[in-house]
Amino acid sequence: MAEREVVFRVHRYRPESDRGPTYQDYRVPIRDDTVVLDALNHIKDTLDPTLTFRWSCRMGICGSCGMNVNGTPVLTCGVFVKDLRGGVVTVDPMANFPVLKDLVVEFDDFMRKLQGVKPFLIRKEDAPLSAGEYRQTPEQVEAYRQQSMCINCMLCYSACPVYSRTDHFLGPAASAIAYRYIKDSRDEGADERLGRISTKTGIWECTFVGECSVVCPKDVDPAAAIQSLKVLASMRHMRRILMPKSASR
Amino acid sequence: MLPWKRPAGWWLRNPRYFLFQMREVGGVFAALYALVLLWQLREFSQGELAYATFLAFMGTPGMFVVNAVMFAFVLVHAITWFALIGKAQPVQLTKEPIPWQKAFAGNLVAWVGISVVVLYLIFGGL
Amino acid sequence: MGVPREPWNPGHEIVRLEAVAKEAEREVVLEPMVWGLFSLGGFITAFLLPVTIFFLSLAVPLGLWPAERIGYGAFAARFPDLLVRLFFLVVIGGGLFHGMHRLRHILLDAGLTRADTLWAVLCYGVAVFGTLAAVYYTFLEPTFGWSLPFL
Repeated sequence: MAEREVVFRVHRYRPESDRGPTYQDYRVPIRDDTVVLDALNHIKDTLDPTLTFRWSCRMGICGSCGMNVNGTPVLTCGVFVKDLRGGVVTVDPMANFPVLKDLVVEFDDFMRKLQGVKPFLIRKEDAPLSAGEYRQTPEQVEAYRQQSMCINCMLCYSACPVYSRTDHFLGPAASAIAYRYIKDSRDEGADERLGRISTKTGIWECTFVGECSVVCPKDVDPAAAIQSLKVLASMRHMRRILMPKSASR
Repeated sequence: MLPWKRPAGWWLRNPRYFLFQMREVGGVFAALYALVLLWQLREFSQGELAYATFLAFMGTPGMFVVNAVMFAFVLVHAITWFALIGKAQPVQLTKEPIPWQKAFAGNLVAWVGISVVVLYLIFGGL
Repeated sequence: MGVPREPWNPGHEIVRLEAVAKEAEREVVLEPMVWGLFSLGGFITAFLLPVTIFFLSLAVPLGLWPAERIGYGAFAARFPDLLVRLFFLVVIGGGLFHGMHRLRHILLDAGLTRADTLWAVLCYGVAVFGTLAAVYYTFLEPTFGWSLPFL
């Protein structure tokens, strides 16, 4: 395989010494099978050990290595350098999050919002362990399977223009996960979750740009999930206004 | 800490963001034309002369261009709406979920049918 | 909660504590309603508005129909029909609630987020007022002969 050199323009930010972000160029030898993450690791191993970024599995499962490459949020382990257009590859940290250092961002806001939608089965009455598992048919699994593939890589938050302009938005992944549990036949927490997503920091800011679903590496469809949630939350709201008695049950 | 803020004008950076804004503007044109309809009803209630003046104004070449632009944007709104509503299906009507492309095609067919019905029932036929 | 504790279920206590914790934020009242109306208006305008614009504003200048098709006589002949009046009311109300909601979000997307309350009052105000005016022109004025000096 032919080797060639590609210039990587990498976002640098050292909070102890820098007043703002800068870019640093590195020349990296590239083969046809080099992914962006390989190039970053080459920089760290041989050119500049101070470069900081997150990664773990190298195979699109852990969701740690998300970055903006040429402005588009991607998992860097899944993007071949040979497929990128233009002479220079620009690597930025994911957009819409505070930058801790170089390419590392802080997710605390997402983590708080994820906890808010209670990403676990809610049962009114827990069955005893001796009763065994909560069983489902293949159709019942299929109802939420796509939305359950999220690996919390946060690319959708990086792509979302609404999340970029307001904190009052639950965001794509947390919404998709909320919808995933609402559609789960074993779960009994739909009303609770719909209440959470109907708050000021819920889903109402979403304008269905749809970019979250475009960038998702796992083919989750947060954009569609949010619209479905809006319909459900809106219907629930109308029910509570028109029939307060039956809704409070 | 380096907080990140997307500057206004972001919708020009990516063709998909631009299409999104065109879709949103299309919806606003629907409201604009609703105001035109309201105005038309008002002039109608004022009597034959006022209504004729309104029609004469709407018939000027300038207003025809404005109307054509509104029509084009409302078409963008309608077609994108037909594509979008197939993607959000909180209540599954059929055993298998309908792929959005199929829902889109169905919506287009329904749209043509409804348009013909409206033409006959509301506007008095062809 | 009175949920019987199982002898071995790591993480269970934490999850339960979280589940019981009262959500501090209050549910919003306005947003689900305006979104519902926006959504309904989206259906109405998508299906009904193109043919309306085409018939009332484009077909005659394009020479497809004679001008009397949209003249006062033709309009007066069709307008007493309850269905016709309902059609105009629904299209105007739907278009306003749909478009004004989108206008508000366009303004927010453009970065004008500080004035959100102002945009909301203006946009939904126009929608509510326009819909009330449409009720007046489609049903109150022709049915009861009410006339309001400012409309």
